Amino acid sequence: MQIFYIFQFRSGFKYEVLKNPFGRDTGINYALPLEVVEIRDVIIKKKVNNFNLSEDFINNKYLYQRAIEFNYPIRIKKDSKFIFYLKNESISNSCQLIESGNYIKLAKC
Amino acid sequence: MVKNNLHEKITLYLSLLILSNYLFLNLSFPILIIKINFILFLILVVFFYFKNLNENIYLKIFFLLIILISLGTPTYEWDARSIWLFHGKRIFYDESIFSFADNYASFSHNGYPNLAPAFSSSLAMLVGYWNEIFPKISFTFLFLPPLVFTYSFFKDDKYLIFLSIVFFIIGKYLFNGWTDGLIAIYFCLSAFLMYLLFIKNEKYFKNNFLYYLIAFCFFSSLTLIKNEGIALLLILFTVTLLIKIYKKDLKNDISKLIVLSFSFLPIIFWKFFCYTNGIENDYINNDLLTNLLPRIGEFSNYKLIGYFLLLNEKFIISLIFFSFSFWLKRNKELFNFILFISLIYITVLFFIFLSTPVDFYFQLNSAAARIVKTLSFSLAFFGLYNLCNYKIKY
Repeated sequence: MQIFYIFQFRSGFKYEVLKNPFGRDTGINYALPLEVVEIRDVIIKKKVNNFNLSEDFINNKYLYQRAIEFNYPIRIKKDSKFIFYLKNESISNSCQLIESGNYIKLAKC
Repeated sequence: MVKNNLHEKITLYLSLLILSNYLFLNLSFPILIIKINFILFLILVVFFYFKNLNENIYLKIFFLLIILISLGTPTYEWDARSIWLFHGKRIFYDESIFSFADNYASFSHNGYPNLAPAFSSSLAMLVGYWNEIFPKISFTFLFLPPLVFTYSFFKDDKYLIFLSIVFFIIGKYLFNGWTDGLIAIYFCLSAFLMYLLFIKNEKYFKNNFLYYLIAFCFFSSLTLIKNEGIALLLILFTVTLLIKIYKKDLKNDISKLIVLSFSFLPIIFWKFFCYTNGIENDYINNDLLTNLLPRIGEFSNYKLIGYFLLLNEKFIISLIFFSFSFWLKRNKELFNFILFISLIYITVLFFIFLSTPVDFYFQLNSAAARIVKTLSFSLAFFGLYNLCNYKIKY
């Protein structure tokens, strides 16, 4: 009974996850915001070695922390040329847009 | 009692492999050694399952179910992601515990002990990559030594009741990548060993070297799981010493207590490393008095802490069960031991909450229910242990 209760109501269990728990991307869509997953995709696509986050990202603690921990070992660096912005954020004039996704965009400054 | 001490031996070997994994990562041993260490751990788990398959079948089935739930549960909660599994991920990629010296991403509390993250990183090293799901099961593996050890004291239906207590109080903390459940169970079993070895005068335990070794492993593990473990182990030593002094019996056991106190060494080394690298503790630092003093004089703060800490439903049920057990069968020695430990720990918790650097209400709301699990679990465990020796009179 207790096992069933924990399993059903307290665990956040997803059968889809159990089907392939050792898959490299398993569970990321349940555990992470879409913005952060997209940052990872852009980092891989553009071969970014380090990155920085815009003001809006930094002010949103949830997105900020998830972006840092999920994308490790790629590190956040204050003086990085690559800055991720939220989709609706405006990019600084001194920066050039190099990638635009559904939820975020990457600029080189 | 199982005469061949099989469960105690399995407990000891599992615990030693967990601690050696931490030690190897500290000493920057080759990855191959770390992988072999983890494989040995898994072989021992398989041995436990298939040596006398029907023995302790409840644990074997339930543990398997918990592993399956863990493998089907994404890691999405804050502490699990931002602290524990992030630490594991860092150790995995950097292949060292000392990479925390750079204090990167300070929100992840780089000064926290790393026994569980180190174990999860080793599993990832064995698999060859990191993902969001499987490293978490190594946290669940850490529950195995105390759960196996307990079988030496509770058999059959009694063990099933014990497992019910585990599920009732620890619940999702068995598999969600947090360490509060681990602290609860390691503290409880450490207190139990302290009681068996130093308070209860039974020659079987006092003269059995195996129990001292297990105690040493559990004590070290307790301090290396979470900062609270350090305070809890200090409380255990203090209460035991005071009881021994009161009973004028310290002389016989002081040397054993001193040897066991070496279990603090790994965490002392870790804290020294943090101190030398400027990794601060959020709670014990220069701001402690600044936070504490304005709150200490207000009665409403104590009421609020009491509400969150002591009016927790699991704590109340455990307390009632504990009281009922000791009312049925009076064991003054054990009762006093647990009572002193609980009172000192509650006092420490009041102090910690009053000096929190974050918002007072937020801290209580987010932490009290899981922190009090340590006490709830211990009260329920010792209530059950006491009740197991109770004979119904007709």
